[in-house]
Amino acid sequence: MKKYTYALFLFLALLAGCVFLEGVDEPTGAQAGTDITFTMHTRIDVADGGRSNVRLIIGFLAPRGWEATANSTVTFTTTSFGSGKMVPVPASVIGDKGQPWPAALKARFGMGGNYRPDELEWVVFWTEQTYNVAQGVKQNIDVKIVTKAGADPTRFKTGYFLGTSSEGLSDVFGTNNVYKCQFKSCFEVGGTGDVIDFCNPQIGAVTPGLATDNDLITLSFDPQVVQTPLNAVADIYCCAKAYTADGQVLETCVQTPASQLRPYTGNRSALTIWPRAFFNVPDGKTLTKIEYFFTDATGNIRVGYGNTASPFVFTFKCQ
Amino acid sequence: MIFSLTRTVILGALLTLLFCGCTQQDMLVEEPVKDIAGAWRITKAVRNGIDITTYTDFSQFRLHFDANKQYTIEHPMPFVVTKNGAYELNDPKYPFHIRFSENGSAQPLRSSFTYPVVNGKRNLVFTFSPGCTANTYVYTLEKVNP
Repeated sequence: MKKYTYALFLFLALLAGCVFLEGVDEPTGAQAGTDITFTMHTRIDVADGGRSNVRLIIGFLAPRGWEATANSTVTFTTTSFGSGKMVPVPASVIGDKGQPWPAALKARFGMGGNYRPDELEWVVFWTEQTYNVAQGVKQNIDVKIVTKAGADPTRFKTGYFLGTSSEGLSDVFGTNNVYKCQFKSCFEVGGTGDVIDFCNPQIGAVTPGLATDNDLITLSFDPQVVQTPLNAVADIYCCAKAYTADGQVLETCVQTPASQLRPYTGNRSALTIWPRAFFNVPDGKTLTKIEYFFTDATGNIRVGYGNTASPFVFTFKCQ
Repeated sequence: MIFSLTRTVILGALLTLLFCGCTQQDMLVEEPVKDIAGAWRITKAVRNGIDITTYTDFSQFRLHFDANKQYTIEHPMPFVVTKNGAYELNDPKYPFHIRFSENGSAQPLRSSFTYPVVNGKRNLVFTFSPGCTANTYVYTLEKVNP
């Protein structure tokens, strides 16, 4: 019985149109607000009776704030199929289990060990044209991704995906045959201002990373990063100051249910606020930034940025 | 001859059945006007694809639509609008856009919405971006029982 099972797998493997992600060229670093070029070196090997109307699909991880689907140019060059352009895969195209491609890749492969994974996204492109590839075609394909980094210095672990529209994320031909996914180490985008760091855990973080005072923002506290005076404290509160564009300071530093952190992901707790309401911002005024601490119920124990007496700072901006 | 006559009679009967036995009666069902009047509460809130319903208190929020095309908001949250005003549906039978005109605001705000029936109850599902355009929120609202 076992022999037949192996034979079946071998047969299916021979039927597969395999793809290979041979490597990715990344620059050693980049500057905020500038174009970054990543080059994926890929290869396809069509082992069975060929494929009709097929597109090559690639994906890459990017911080959501980069809006990389709109701010990227993706092209490819091949040895005998010419060159071409890749375009974003429409949201209506299902990647796996009823989910569109970005969500399907997140569900299948995760976000490469980045912290605050909800702040990053899979950006998925496919060839603008469909292709008919005959049995036995072996083709090297280089995919060049040019994407514009966001305005903030950022650290994140990059990730890449390669697949085809005909096979999708199917494992019928064996795991990792008709698609490939690869994560790399921390990539650093330099610049001035607060660093958005997805590579290392943060005691305090704000989600979404880009927001105005009219968004709902989540201020999270992670007790596992370092030992802080709040580690043994069950009820944690937020004490915050907000600054308006015209210099007014609005403070909310009372330990009430409205300022108490709620259970969040893992061992973290978080407070989700609408800043305009939380700070009673008068009509016509806007907030530029907030400074905040996490405290106990008395307000006497305070934890700030890097477990110091300095507050965490979040600046409101959209780019 | 008799055979031919019988065949003619059968053929005639079949033709009669064909023309008379299968009359089609179209039932005209009038599409009802969608009545959104009443108070609505948030049952689900999603930010950038993540369910945040339990992250903060959405339970106090109420959106009241009245029959005179006025709306009021209690305990506002980030939404398409945050102040009271007037509303208008683009089509009373097949609405998919709603126009909010906030009191004191010159520009009305148009929002698309869907109107699905979930567990036998009408829901209103709004998708909007009140802050940065990169941040998308989806609120599912359910009518509060009077």
